[in-house]
Amino acid sequence: MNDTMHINDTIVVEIDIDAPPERVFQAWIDPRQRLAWWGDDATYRGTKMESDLRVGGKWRTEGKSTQGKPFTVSGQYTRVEPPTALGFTWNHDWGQSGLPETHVLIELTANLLRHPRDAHPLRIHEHVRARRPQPGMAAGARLVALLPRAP
Amino acid sequence: MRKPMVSDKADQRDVFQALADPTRRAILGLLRQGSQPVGSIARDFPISRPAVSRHLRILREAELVTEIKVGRNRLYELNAAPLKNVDDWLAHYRYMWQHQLRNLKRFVEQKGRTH
Repeated sequence: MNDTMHINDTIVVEIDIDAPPERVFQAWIDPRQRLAWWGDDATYRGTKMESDLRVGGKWRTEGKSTQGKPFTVSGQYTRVEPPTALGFTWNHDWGQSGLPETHVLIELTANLLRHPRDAHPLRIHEHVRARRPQPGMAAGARLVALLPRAP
Repeated sequence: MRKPMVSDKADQRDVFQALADPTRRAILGLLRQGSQPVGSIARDFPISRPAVSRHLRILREAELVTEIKVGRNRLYELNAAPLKNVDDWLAHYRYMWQHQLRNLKRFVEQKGRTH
């Protein structure tokens, strides 16, 4: 009961990445790089990406599942702040139709707790408050990449 | 009783629309403490009683609350079952993003080493 009644409107996924923020940001916004890592041979592959990278600009990705089933994902950019923040809306055509549009926010943050020589960096477990949903957006995802601290 | 798994598109949309509003989410949080009549719910919110009734109607249509009659009173009771839809949906997204971020990590870290 406790779990089901806890209405989370935001998924928070964090990962440690050992690369400068500029490189990670480029991997998101450059269609060629994005298609190289978007999915993999075991699940699905992106095949085409169009991107008008500015606030209000539209993006669209096409791809195929390993079973050959095509899919598209599209949306509009809401924040473009290289190399620390990228926000966009998200609509996909698989699963149930009529699902609400979601909002994805990618934040690239220096991992301040990380020891410079530590091969297995610590992870910051910061408390993240669920943001209030915008009208028509029942849920969103907040993706946090924790990067090495800038020198 | 509705099936807990996602089965009907219109129903699903109702649940998401119902949850999209912060006041309705707060009403659900209040009802979690126990069933209440509309008057007592309205006292907890800075909006009019008709406005609270409208929110309750939307929550009822999404089957997130049920109306029960106790003597002359009508109480509103929480029904958490449709929230399972939301949980399933969020679990799907969480899995997808975890997977994607691992792919991203592998990609940029490999790329770094080849430079």
